[in-house]
Amino acid sequence: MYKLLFVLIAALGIFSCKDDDQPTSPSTTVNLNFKALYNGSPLVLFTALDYPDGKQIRMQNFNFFASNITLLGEGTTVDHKLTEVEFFDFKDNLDLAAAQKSLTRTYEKVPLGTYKGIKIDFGVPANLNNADAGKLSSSNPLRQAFASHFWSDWGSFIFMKSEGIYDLNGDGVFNQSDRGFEHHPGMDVVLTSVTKLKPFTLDKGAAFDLNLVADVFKIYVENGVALDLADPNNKDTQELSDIPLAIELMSRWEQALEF
Amino acid sequence: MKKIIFSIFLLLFTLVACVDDEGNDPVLGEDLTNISYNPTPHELTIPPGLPSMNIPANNPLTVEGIELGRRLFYDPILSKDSTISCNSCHKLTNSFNDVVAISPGVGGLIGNRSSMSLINVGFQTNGLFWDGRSLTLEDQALHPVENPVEMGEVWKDVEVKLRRHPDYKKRFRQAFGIENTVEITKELAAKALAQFERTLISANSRYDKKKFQLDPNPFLLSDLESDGLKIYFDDQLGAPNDPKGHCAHCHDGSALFSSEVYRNNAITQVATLNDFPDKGLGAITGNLTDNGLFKAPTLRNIALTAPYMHDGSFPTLESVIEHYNSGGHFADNVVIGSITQLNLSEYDKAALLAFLQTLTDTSYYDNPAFQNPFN
Repeated sequence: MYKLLFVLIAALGIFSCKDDDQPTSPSTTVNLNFKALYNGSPLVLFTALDYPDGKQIRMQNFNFFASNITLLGEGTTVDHKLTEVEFFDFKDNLDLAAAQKSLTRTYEKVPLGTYKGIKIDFGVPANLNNADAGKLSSSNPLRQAFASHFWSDWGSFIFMKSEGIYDLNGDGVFNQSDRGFEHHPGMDVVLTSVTKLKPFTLDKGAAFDLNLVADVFKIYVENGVALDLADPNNKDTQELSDIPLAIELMSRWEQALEF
Repeated sequence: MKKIIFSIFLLLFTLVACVDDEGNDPVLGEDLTNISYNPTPHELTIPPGLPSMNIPANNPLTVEGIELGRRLFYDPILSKDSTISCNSCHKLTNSFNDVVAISPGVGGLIGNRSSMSLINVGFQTNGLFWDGRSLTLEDQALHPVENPVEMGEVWKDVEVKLRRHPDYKKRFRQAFGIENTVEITKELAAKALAQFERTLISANSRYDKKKFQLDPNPFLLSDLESDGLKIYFDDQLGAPNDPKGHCAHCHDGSALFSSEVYRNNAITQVATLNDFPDKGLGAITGNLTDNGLFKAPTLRNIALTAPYMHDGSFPTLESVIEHYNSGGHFADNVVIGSITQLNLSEYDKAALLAFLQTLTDTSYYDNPAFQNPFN
């Protein structure tokens, strides 16, 4: 009886080692590089930028959450989620040299294969969009941005902060007589999912650079029609009555994201 | 010749006097292993609404570490002339802040910034001090000691004082397991102070009781206070063109009431961004657009911490509200989406003031763990 027990234990030990002996799936490293543009040029904060109505704006802040960032598999390659949520803040885009650089997030062990594109949700997923996110570990982007982006009155994160000044009187000078805008869309209803199809292959070897662009201009301008920043109703998105504007701005990620 | 002999005698006498009966000089090194080291882990209780606290793996909270930190916090031994302690500028009954515009340091010297509240400081993740120059409490705690207009001391001398102190050398052993007095360093002192500061949690105001349903009383906030809350958070009161205070953009952060952002709050009139007399964050980063930016402090217990702003230039909350209502002084880095002329009525201003006063929590006054151990 003891011999039988010994054999069973030994067998258990052998089988429990089996996984370790199996070769791991071939994988590589992916660098997700996000650059912010304004109408095709690097976004430089605190500089005058041409607005389609002939006036100018000056951006002061631009940041956003991107979540469920997923590589879409093709053929035998299955979808691969790179990360649950990331926070991209272009606060250092203070001159052209800085603005030409991308913000990079690196993901290890991404399976090799052919992918047909990428899917990104702009905002914070509903299951994480609550005050409990503040209890996450200090390395989590939601915890790191909790103080600056969790709007307790809504019980939601602010998904994107786009702040600046619109030269209301068109005198070419930015000052208090102009219109400040603070677009802070949040709440589950404005979460926007964007899919961009463009095949690429992850091969063995050097890390793969996945280069993405967020063009702020395209958040504000669609089909040549610009958001009327002279309209005081469009200056911010703080109230429930501003939700339609918040949805409109977030929906523009479909065109603002370039891959 | 007599003078030389006398000097040598005096020096020898001083050296001998520093050595204890067993021949140990705590400065040169004294064995502490006869004192037991058995630290007790301390678990923080985080109230509803507050986020998690990042506690460094190399400085876990212990009962002994926190107690040592409390003693160091209240002890003027950290200052050059033993007149200034942390508590001198961070008083229990003022939300661990004080009530003067600029706190005097050793010898009555005056700096250029007001002290900051330490309530809930352990939750902060985006820099400490008005200019964010310290990233951790362990680093922050090192600065005031050697600031010439605060404690005016040098850490080397503080370490000597602590190594010679019969109670502190025991407490450093009990908190950190050091084996010899020479291991009492500024880094360990800062760790202890950081541990104590992480326990300074306050979240029992009337606002908390209402928001987090800690009290079933449906009348916790008056109509005036409730309207003030809506103005604070830019909620609609119901009327068209209803007032917005835009306060929460910088002072929300969920229950922290600080978004931990750095802003030019338009109190200083300057011709260019180069002209700020105090450059704030800009002096740390070197970025022109960071000049004149200061950290948005918590508004918890704000009614207890007058005067206000980084330079203490606003004597009352009413004057602060008036300032923001006016829009202040424009500069290129003022985010005028929220710092702009608010056009608040007298009622709106009264409501906002009433709401700010609901953020007061004095219940922690009675917590003996926060009080001065030397009283």
